[in-house]
Amino acid sequence: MTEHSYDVIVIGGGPAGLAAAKSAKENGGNVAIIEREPRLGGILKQCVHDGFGLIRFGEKLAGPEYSERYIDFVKELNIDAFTLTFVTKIAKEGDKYIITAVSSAGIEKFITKSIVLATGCRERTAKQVFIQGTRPAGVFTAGTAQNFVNLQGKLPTKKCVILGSGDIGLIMARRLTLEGAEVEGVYEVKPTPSGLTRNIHQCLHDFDIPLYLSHTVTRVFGVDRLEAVEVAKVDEKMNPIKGTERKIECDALILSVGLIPENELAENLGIKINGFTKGPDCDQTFMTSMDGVFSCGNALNVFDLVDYVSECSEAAGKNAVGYTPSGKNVQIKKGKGLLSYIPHRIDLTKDYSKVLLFFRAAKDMDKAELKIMVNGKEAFSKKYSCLRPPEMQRLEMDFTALGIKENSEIEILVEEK
Amino acid sequence: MELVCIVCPRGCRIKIEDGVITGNTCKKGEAFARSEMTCPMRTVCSTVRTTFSSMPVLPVRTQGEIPKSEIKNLMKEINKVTVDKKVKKGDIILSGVVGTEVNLIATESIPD
Repeated sequence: MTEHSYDVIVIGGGPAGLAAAKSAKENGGNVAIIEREPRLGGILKQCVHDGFGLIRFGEKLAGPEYSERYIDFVKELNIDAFTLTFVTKIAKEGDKYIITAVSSAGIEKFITKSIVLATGCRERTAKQVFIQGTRPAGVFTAGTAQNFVNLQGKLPTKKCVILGSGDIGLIMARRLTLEGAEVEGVYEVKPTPSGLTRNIHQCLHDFDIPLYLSHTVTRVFGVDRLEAVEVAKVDEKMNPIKGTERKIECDALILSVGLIPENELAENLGIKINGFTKGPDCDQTFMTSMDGVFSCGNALNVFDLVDYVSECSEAAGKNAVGYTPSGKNVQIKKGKGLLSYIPHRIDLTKDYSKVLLFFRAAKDMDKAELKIMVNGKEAFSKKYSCLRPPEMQRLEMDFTALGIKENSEIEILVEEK
Repeated sequence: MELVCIVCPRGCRIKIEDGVITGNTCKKGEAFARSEMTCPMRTVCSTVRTTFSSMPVLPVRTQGEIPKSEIKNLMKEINKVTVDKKVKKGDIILSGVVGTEVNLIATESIPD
C-alpha cells in the first residue's frame, strides 16, 4: 500500500475541486486532488456550449475552455493530481483523516489534516421519476445524452421527447437538433420553466422547439427500444388530466428532472445534510458539521453558474489550510419565500465580515426584498426587481454589522412587494 | 415587441416600441436588441471528428458571432472536418466560416 501525506486533500477534480486545490496551494497548503476519471475537468468536459466564465474571466467560454484554464493553474502550481483514483473510505484518527482509495497501483492511503469534498452532483434518474410502462433502451438522462454526443461523438436518438425543462435538457434540445435529431418537444410538469430564461430563448425558440408547460410523460411504450411515449396535461396538483393524452412516436425519452448533490462520502462520515440544499450543512467558511471537512461546488448546493462554483470553492480551499475548528455557531433559520441558501450558520469565532451568501427564491417574484432578521428585527434588506427559482442570487455581506451575539436568532426571508 | 437578452445569465426582458429600447440594464443589451431586430447573431458551439481514440470528438466554437440564419450551413461545414493533429485550445480549425471572417476554434487541447 502506498502512503501519502498532505495538509489538504481535495476529492473531485471538476471545477470545484480544481478551484479549491488552486486556492489551498496559493495559501500555503500542501494539497492533492483525487479524481476517479482519467482526466481532470469534471462534467465541464462535456459541456461544450458557451456562457461559462462571464463573471470570473469577463469572457464567454465553452465548458472545456473554462476547465482547462483551471487545469493549467493547477499544473503551474505543481499540485499533485491522482487521476483514475477512487475514494472508498474516509476515517478520522485523532486530528487527522485517513482516506483509502483504489487506483491502478492498488490500494492507496492518504493522510491529511483537512478534506475538501468537491464531488459534484448527480442527475435524478428514470427510476426516480414515476412513469408507467417498461424501461426499454432509449430512456436516459440529459447528461448521458450529452456524454454520448459531446464526448463519444455518437447520436443516441433520431427523434426524442425531453421531460423536464432543466438547463441541461434545454441545452441538449439545441445540441441534438444541431446534430440532426428531431426534438418533438420539451415537457415540463410545473407551470414555469426550470431552466434559465435565456436558455428557453437561445435553445428552444431559436430552433422552433415547442415547450409544453403543465405537461408530463405518463407512459412509455416499447420492449427492447423505446417506440413511443404518452404525454398529458396536468392540473394544479400535477395530476394528469384524463382525455388530454397524446401518443408520440420517438426512439428516446430524455430526462432533465433535477440534480442532487453527491454526498455518499459525507453521509458515511456522519456529516449533517441540509434538507433544502441536499448538501452538507455549512458555516461561512464552507466547513461542514465535522471539523476539517469542507464542502463546495455542486456537492454543497447545486449552482447554475460555474463562476459561483469556482468562487465558493476557492474560499473553501483557502479555509481548509490550517483550519479553525468549530466555535460559537449561530444558526440561520429559513424564513418564508426561500427555496435554499448557504451558509446555514455563522461561526462567531471566525471572520464574518465578508460572508458569501447564496440563495434561491421559492417562486417567481417581481419586486421582492431579501431580509435578514436578528431577534425578530430587520437587520438587513435588499431589493430585487425580480427573483426566479432557477436563478441563484449571490451577495457578499458584512454580518458583523448586524449586531449578532451567541444567543441571537437569525432568520433569512424573501418578501414579495 | 419583447425580447429576452441572452448576453449574460441575468436574462433582462427588453421591450422595443417604435425603435425605442427599454428594459436593458447594460449597453450590451441595447446592442443585442438592435441586432436581434435587424440581423440576429449567435455564437455556435459544436464538436468535430478527430482521429484520436482518447478524444474521438473535439469541442469547437465560433470565435465570434455568425448570422443565426447561417447555423445550418455552419453545421454542414463542421461535419466535413476531421482533425488529425494534436491541436491546442484556441487553435483555428476552420478559418472564415459560412462566408464570414469568423473562425472556428478548438475549445479544448487534445491530450498528449
